[in-house]
Amino acid sequence: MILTLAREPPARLDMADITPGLCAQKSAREVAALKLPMGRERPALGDFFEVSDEEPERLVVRESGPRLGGLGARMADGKMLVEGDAGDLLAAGMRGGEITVRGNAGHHCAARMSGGRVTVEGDAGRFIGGALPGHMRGMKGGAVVVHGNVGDRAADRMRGGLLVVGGRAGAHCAARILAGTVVALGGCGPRAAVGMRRGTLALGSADTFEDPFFHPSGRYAGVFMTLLMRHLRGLDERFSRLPTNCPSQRCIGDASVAGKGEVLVLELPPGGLGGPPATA
Amino acid sequence: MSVPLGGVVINGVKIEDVFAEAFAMTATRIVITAVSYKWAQHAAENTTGFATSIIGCGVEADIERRLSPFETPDGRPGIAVLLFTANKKELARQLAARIGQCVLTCPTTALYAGMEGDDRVPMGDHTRYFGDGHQIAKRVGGRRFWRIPVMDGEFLCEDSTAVSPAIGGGNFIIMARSQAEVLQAGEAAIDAMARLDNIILPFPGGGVRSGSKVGSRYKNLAASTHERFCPTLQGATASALAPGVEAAMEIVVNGLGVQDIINAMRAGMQAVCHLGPANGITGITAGNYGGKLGKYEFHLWEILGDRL
Repeated sequence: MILTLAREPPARLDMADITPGLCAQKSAREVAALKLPMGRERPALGDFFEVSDEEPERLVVRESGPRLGGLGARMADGKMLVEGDAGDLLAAGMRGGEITVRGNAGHHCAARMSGGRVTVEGDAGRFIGGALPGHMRGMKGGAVVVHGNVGDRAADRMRGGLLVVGGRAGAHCAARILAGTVVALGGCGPRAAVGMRRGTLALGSADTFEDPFFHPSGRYAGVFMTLLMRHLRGLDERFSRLPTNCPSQRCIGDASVAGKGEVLVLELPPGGLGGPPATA
Repeated sequence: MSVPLGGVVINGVKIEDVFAEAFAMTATRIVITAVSYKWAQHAAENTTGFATSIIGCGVEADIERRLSPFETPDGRPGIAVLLFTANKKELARQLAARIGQCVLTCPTTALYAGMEGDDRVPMGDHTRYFGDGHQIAKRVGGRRFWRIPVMDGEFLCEDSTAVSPAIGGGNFIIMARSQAEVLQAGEAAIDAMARLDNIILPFPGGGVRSGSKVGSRYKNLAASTHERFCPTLQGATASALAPGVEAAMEIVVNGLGVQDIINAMRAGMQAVCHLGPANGITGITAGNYGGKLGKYEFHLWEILGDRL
């Protein structure tokens, strides 16, 4: 099904209920008649979108913009393509399926996500994979790939899953992380991993990581890194030039909270990901 | 293939009209990788040591085959090992002991599940405690691993592996005019069978010189020598050996499925028949318990293609 935004909503339109699974079971007319939360109002989807039955294999949102909130938030399966930007809460609560956003994503992307796969080809806002206000835990499963940069507080209180940032993460990346893996190939801003309990933060070699509560534990080139690199190469073509293994400088912390997480500063080859692709 | 009265003969080797009786078992495959085949082999050989029969060893295990770096999760040389037990509980117990003593201890190794499925037994989920609180759990691509700090860095071990119903005790017995000739035939059969996937030959080198029967005159023994196949007892028992047969050898094969056993037994018996009487081979038979114990019957004539 294709939803083409014809009239921009005057406020944030909550698209969480619009899933590939739902659209597969309804006709275009039925989907257009669905009521969606927009502040105190509940307009019909058809008030803003043109709906067509084409593309039966997936849900496509065209001319998408930042006022479309919660895209994919209740997805459990199926595929969604967002041609344009996505608003806040993209894939927040997603349990399965795949979403691809051709543009940028707003804040709180993948909050409470527990499964599935999200790809943002542009940038993403703050708190990606992090906990929502009032919640103690963020993303707990699935994989999120952002080709560009992400804002502050990425993976804040993350509980599991994988977040890969092709560009740079903002400040407080992986702060208070409980588990999971965050890879920021372009490095990150200050105060990364503060309050880290467990989990892994891997940083591109653009930065050196320094924190008095993280203890250096030498050079790391274990088999886990081989598995991670291989997984990343297969996850997104953008990472196909990652090496077979990537030694790193490892620190354990955050000791101020008795944490046993790790920060790995990757020794990427010169030129970053511009070298020949790995053979295995 | 000529068909004389009383039996099937292939290249001069008489194939008796009998079946091998085999048993339902539970099995898993694990994959050991290391920096080189040499070190993976050390770990695999130790893991599959003292693992010939569940009667005395608790598990029947052996190396299935080498894996190229392109076949392993981490791109390093690897070895696939199959383990067969009576039940899942015993398999978990044996895995915990053998991983902890034989794989964890071996330099540069990592350990992965070699089988997919929902029915699983723990691997790293037991071994992780060796990390004494410093172990790390990671999930990559939907698979869960444990990273256990050790002296040479980390031992990476997958959390669990799947189990599968399997079959143990497929067999055939080679009869020959001398020990040297039965050994030659046994080795040819073993070489042919060892090339196949999904099977192992759990006994030392793949052959059994002490084929047994159920029961004993001694109360404490579950099994005892199969006197009908002992050449030195031909005058004292109702021998199954024809005059002139001076030695026999049993080849036992465990496999993941019926067709795997059939393929292996066929390959082994064909290798024996190829040697023929010119190399002292007189016949092939098989061991069974009258069909009263095992769930599976592998008929030699059916396996070799014709049944009269």
